[in-house]
Amino acid sequence: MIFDFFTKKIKVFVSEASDDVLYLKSNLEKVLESAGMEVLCINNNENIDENNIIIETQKLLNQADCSIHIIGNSFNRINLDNQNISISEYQLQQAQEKINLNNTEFKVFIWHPTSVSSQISDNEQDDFISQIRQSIHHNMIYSNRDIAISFVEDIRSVMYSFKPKEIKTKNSDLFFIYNQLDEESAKAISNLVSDIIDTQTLEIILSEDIDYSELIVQQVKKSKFMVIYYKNTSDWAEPFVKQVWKKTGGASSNVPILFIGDENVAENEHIDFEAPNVTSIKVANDIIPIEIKVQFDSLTENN
Amino acid sequence: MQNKKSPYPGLRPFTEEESIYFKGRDLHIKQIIEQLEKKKITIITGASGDGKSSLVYAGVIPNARAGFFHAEYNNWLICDFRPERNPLTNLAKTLANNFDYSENEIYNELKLGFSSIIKLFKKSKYFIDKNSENWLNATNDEKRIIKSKGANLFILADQFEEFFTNPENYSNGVPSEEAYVTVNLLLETAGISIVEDLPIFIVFTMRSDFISQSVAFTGLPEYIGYSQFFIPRLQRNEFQQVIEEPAMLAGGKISKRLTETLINESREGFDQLPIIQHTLNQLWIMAESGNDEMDLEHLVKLAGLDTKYLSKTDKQEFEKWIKNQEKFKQKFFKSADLTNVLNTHANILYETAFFYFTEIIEWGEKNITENDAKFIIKTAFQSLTKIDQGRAVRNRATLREITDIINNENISYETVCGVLNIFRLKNNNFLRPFIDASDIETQFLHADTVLDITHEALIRNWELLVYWENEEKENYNNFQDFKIQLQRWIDSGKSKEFVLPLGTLVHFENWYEKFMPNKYWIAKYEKSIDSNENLMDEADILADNIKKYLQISRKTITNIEKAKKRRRAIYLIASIVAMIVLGAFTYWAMLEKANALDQQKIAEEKTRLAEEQTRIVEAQKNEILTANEIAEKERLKAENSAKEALWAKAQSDEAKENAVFLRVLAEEQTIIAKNEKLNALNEKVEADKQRIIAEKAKNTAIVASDSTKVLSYLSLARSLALKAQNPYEDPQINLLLAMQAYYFNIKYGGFERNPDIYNALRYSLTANGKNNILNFVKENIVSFFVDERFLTVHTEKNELVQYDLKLNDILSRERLFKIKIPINSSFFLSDKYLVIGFEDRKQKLYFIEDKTEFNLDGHGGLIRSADKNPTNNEFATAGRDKTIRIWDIKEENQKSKKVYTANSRVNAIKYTADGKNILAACNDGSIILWNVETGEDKLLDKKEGTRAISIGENDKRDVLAVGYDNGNVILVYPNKNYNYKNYLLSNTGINAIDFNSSSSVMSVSKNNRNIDMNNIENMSLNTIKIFDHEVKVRNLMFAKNDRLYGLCEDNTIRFWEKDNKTYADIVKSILKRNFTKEEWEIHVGNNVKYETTLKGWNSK
Repeated sequence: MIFDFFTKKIKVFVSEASDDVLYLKSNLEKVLESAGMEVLCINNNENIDENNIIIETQKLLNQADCSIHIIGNSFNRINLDNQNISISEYQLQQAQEKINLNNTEFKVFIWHPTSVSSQISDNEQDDFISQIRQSIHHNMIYSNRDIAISFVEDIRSVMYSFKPKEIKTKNSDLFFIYNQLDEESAKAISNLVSDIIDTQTLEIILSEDIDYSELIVQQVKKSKFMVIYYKNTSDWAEPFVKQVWKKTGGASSNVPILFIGDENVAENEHIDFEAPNVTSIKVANDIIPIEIKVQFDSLTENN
Repeated sequence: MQNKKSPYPGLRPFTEEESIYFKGRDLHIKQIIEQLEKKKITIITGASGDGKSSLVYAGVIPNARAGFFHAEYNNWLICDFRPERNPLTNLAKTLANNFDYSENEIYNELKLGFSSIIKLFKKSKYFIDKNSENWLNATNDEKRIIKSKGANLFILADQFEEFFTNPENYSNGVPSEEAYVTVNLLLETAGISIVEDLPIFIVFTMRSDFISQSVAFTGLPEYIGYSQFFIPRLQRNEFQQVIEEPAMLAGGKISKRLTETLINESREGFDQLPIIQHTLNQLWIMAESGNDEMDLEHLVKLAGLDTKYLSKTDKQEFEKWIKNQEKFKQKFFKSADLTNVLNTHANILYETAFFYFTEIIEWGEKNITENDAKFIIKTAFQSLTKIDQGRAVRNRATLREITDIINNENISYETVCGVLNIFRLKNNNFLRPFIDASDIETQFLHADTVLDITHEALIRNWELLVYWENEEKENYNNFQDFKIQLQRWIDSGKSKEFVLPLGTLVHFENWYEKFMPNKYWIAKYEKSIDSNENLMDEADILADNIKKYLQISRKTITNIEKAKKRRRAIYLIASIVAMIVLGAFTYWAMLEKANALDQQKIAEEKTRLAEEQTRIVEAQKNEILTANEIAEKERLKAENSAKEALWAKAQSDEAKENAVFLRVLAEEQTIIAKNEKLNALNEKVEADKQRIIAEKAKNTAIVASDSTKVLSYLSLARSLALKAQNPYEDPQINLLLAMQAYYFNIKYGGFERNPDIYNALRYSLTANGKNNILNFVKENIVSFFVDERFLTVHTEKNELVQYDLKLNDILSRERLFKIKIPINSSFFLSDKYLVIGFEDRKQKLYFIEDKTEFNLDGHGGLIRSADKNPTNNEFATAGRDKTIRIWDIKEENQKSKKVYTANSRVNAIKYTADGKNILAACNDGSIILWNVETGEDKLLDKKEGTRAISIGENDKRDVLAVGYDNGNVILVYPNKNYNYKNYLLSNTGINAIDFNSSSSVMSVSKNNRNIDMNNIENMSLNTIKIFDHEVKVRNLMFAKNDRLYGLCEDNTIRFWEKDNKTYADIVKSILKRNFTKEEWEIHVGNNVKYETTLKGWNSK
């Protein structure tokens, strides 16, 4: 497995830090660079004024893929952007706004090591931290790791998630899946259904060297409705539908699953899977195409 | 509102049914499947709690069934088993469930080992022979139909480490025959499948700490090398999936802030996943079975988070909620953190089990008390764990075995079952087998049903169980120690010479009386691969032997004590006789003296007479001289008048003749007087001689008289010292008695280090409110360090408390860093560095001045000792994993740079002065010298059947002392080619040793609670035995001013001065008065002249 952090360089905005954690900041910047990331931060210029802080922060945040905010022990309130707040708080506000406004993949990492949190004596800062912990939402990561390398490893694991190989898939209304052992009956059904609904069909052939798991995940994203059909493959069908449900998002998925089997096969009697977003039914083989159409229409009407 | 099924299983692994909620391991599942496709066998290894079983049951198997595993057939035969106590039987059972043969038939086939499973598979309907005519002549459609009947075989040996942890399968490094055959079958099946490309797949899950034991099975290490899959640690994003996605899949919700809190608060390493899974399961229940969004408030209600992380509204709501909780629950919320969720949950079950049994369960006799119920729970959990290589692990036990160990005729196994049922309920799941709410039968267990703790995380995180386990460990250690002594006694033909010594006897008698080990408990630890149906009989014999050995030891000791008393009486009589002889001698000497005085008087009288004679003779001589002068004058007158008168001539001649006559007479008288004078002088010389003899006799008499007096006074001093240790209404009396004893002892040349006087002075100070106890922290003290002025302690709450010995007050108190795992031990390398060992077997190095801490990554067990290299910036640690590890004192996390592995656990270490060698005291009684530079080791000494448990060394490090658990101390001299001398100082263990600054005194803390201060120059003389404390002293240390400090088991620090003089000076400083004459007569006696103690003594 090759990780893209060896090839892709992400840009990390590192916020200003209070004096008591400056040593952490300076060490973290070196560790980030050593981990192959580009560090963006306001130059340590004593003459920099409030106005420049605002301009520089916004400029650098716009260039960055993520931001890191190191929380120290003191609040250091100043007058910034017409607010009486600390630089840390201001920069965190700006980063949060970037998440909210642009709805991007931009991530905000808040770093508050345990060794620092155990020494807090400033009430305002305590409130500030408590408020941060209360208001963590999507794309925000709060870390209390003590070791900078460990913290940067976490950043890597979030920023460089493993991207699977892209498989060729097509947009379709219906995604129809069956096992090779049911090929004959399944093809008959899919032929009928595809005449009335735009359908992509997948035959699972166990001996084939295909990553069915990934293929299904990617095809589902381009489909509106998924049908898993079984006739003589009851042993396979139930575990299969469960894994597909899990891999495609379960209750939170946008693509409902119709798990449909032939009721005239005795082995199918106990096959069932009850879960949110799944309709599990058994009907006579001849009626299955009609049932698929009914379910699909019902879905379309509800939407 | 609908109760949604929890997607989090709690402490138990995910089942295949729950695979839909098993998240975070997608990549690892894929990797294992790929490996199995290629290699046919995979050995999945990882730490306890890494989710190995879940990975297979909820990951690999469902994916295989779903067709995401490229195998020959659509169908899968899943044959899974745990080795437990009967691995071959269990393998036969699971195969019988899938093939059309009886368990017996399969078992008999399997006993032949090797290809038996392959034969079974090939004989079955699931195997399709592709060389058969049937297959070769079939059309494609026919082949498809044939294939639909075929199946892949998947054999899972889950918890493979049970091949090593169950004594029925493996003991003393040797596997049982059944275990050996089972492993042979599995490996051979894998081998044939690889060669013949059969659709058979073998998976083992095994804890990685057992890999080294795999050499016991031929071929297993090779297969581990070929196909091991070590479960990787979950990365942050994967951990996030574990937490968030099951809830989403099940239609529940979890707030992002709760996810982040759980990720941050869960500790890494041991038990991370089981604790988080258990917490999530409880959170789901707390959030109305997934109907509410799981949030911080729910975690706070589980005692898993401090309320300070809540918003004001949530905090107020929580405060209302907690007020409505039962009182016993409220205390669990005082130390809220993530590990506390499991602890609190288990505690609540413990507290409510009685109620559940008596009020909710509708069956069973309710003839027990709440205390009985608690005792049942405690004994059950102790029975379900055991001590293996010094740590508590799971021990499967039947309900009958647990009931037997409880050993109370009023408590039936049905009652035990009823009391334990609360731990088996769905949503609790602490004990297997679980209760299925839909099947009432699962509430009742057969006596032979095997119970098992669901996960070892419970053993490590339920504080009460940890406490019980420590108790069990102590019982186990006592049992093992006792067995060694017992075996020696039996081997000696139960000789009286091998009975227990007094101290050891008292120790084991106390243990026996308190614990009363029964045969069922003994059987738990006596199981081995040789165990048979006679195990219980053998345990019974052992239990009986234990009792007899104690009784015989007691009887023998009593007889010896009686003999000793008789001897003491003889000694006493002999002493009295000696005193009489001494008295007689003194009397004779006094008579001799009187005789000599008489002789002297006679001699003096004689001298006086002789002098008188001399004076008389002198007077006569003078008279004669005067007569001569007159005669001469007369002659001159006669001569002058010769011419005048012839007549007168005749007269004159006559007168002359008369004068001559008188002259001759006078001369005769002079000679006589001279002779008289000579005689007188001779007599005087004789008298002088007599006088000298008399003087000598007199001196001898005086000397004899003084020896008696010295002995009397020293005896008196001792008597006063003993009196000084009694309580008096006026405590000044204690001071006076002790001081007077000290005064007499010094004045009459007693030993300065007289132990009785030492204790008298110490006691008299205590009686006057000058106690030697420092008790300035409430928390348990883990370790301490002392210099002249300051005493620093490290507490279980990870605080350093500095105490000013001059001001007698706490100088500072600071928390080092937050801890989640309890501290097990710590060691001051100096006043700058502290090594801290945690219960999860991890360690940290703490820089006291910089206030920074760093991880030490290496030890696999608790550490027992640490020491700094005196020549450079290295230090060493050692412990229960049998290793000594060398580290640098540096500000970063590190792995040990050098490792030495001993044959048994290392209890104590010390560097030698050159920093090149480390002396190690080991649990098998050996003392090892390890050369850190060359890596060579040398066995200096080994005392079989003992444990070397402590080491001390002097400041120059040229004398080291090793203490043993049987009371021996060995002094080792590095500069004398490591020569050593052995001393038996006690009949109990030597817990700690230290030397004073001048190396003249060595102090040892003994297991019988006493402290000895030995004179290093003469170990058998003048040992000060300190016994003014009623607790054991865990560790001791001389301060630079030679004051001795001891860390006691009652969490106090006590101190003792180095000698009598120091104590005497303190006593003198608080002494306010002298004895009155009356007091003197009472306490000291009439025969001793009254003197003033306070004024009469100058200690200098």
